[in-house]
Amino acid sequence: MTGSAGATDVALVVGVGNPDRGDDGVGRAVAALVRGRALPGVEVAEVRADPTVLLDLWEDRHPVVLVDAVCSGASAGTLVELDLRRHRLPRTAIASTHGFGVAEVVELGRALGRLPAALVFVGVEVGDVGLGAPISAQVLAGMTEAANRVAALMRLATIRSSPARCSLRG
Amino acid sequence: MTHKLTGDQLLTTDPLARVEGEGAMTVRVRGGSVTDVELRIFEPPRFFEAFLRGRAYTEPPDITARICGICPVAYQMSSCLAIEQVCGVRVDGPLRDLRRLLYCGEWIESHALHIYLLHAPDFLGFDGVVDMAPHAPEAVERGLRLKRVGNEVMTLVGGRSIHPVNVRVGGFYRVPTRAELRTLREPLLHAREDALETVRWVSGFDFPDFEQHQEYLALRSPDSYAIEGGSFVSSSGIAFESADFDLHVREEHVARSNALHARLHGVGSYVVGPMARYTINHDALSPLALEAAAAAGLGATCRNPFRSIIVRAVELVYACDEALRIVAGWEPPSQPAVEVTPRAGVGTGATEAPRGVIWHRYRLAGDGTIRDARIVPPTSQNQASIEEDMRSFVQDRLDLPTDELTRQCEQAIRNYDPCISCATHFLHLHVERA
Repeated sequence: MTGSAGATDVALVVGVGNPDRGDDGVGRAVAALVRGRALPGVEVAEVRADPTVLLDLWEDRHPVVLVDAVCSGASAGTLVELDLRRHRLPRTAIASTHGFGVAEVVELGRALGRLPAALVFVGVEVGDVGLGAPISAQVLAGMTEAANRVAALMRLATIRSSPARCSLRG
Repeated sequence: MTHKLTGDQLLTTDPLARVEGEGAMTVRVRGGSVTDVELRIFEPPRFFEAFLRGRAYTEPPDITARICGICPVAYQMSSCLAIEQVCGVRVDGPLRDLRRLLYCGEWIESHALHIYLLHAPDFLGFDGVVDMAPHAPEAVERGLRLKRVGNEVMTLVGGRSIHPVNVRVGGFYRVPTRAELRTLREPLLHAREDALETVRWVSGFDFPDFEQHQEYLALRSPDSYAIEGGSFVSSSGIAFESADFDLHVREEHVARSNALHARLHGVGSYVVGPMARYTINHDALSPLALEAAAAAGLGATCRNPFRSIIVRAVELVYACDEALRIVAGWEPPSQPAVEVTPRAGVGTGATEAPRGVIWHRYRLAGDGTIRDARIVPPTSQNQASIEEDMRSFVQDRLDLPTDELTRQCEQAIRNYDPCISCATHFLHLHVERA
């Protein structure tokens, strides 16, 4: 089902990541920060593994912001923002459950007509993803900025009424 | 670029997609004959057995669940059985039923994932499920529904679907009420219909004409299709208890792989998993699962690894049937767990993970401290057989263009639903035609 904007929509923030792998846990850590702000009309969810659950989580939710770690070679903590209704995430299978990661689930949702009407990706560049490592200082600094950006996206009336105006940045 | 290879050649797949972990397959062809096949696993060793040393006897279910996000219940159940054996405790009745129900949830989730998201695209000529979805949306949605129901069972019984937190040595931290388990009935009834449709769907695929006659090894239980326990039985009639696994199975290190290769004494390589279970235990399937298997053209055994997708689908039907049976008869026990008092000794436990039997052994000190631990997962047991499959499979297909041969080799490896993260203790494919 393709999501559509409506007056009673509940917004959703989903943090994805593995907190046992250092900076890879940043998506969930950002989601926890957003939860702490108790934004009205905003649900917050965290996904550790098996991203296929996203298809159910974001059903009837609008807008949806997906927060995850990214690895592009930029400085750790750098933010990247992508309108997933208009752009694709790079499909990188390694280190995902049976090679099935967030990018694959987004594309599966697109193929099945099950993407939310507004879906924005906020990525935080990782540094150290070592087993058992804490989130690095650079990424910790980027986390607050990421949470601020997610909160701002949620406050933007434009994102609720006009998915096409979600900005592409980074 | 597509090109045929002649003479001495090398074919590689690097990396192999839609499998878990990191590895590579190399097939060497010299003078028109396959001379060597190597499944190399270079996902680093994960040292879980060493992590367990010095920990308390109560910790293996939580620690070993972290080995795999697909089959955590298998690790939890085998570890519980082993610790309970050391301590002279046997968990039966409703608590064993609840373990079996949790395990059914894992089978449903894992088999649906493998059939629909990973393996079916191979048979239908797609690069993956994302490419398959626009052409077979109803099928993909069916797979996702099945997976969701498996997750629901695991969440209700295990506390959450990934790395369940409600399992403990001796049973559970909390058992569900009758009313709670009844909420699973409707979803499971729908899932069973979806599972039957899955059998019909996959049985219509085209299967390569390819048979293997390796030894099958699975658990067998006197009263049911073995899942959460049983005794070892092989297709040639070798039978032994979990405690004697070490006497019958030898693990060998091979330099190219971070996973050990297992060999059955007097036999050599062997296969665990759905085809082995079906061959050894099909008489214990439910009438509905047997009927579905017969309608799909499965006989008393299955020797074509490509048809393993049908066997998984039949097991999906069975897992739904079993889950429904347990839900219907559920009477919560007075206590959520049997008390387990530590004592010195050695214990073993074996259960049927979705991709094959998984064996654990622990040695405890008198105060319950773990002195040593051994874990033998299914993929390391299947590695040698995967190599043998590839050797004969490639030999008969040397005239194929390299890219098509590589594609078919990847499909053949996925017949085993390998979980290389578990075995390292994943995959890039090389076919060398030198």
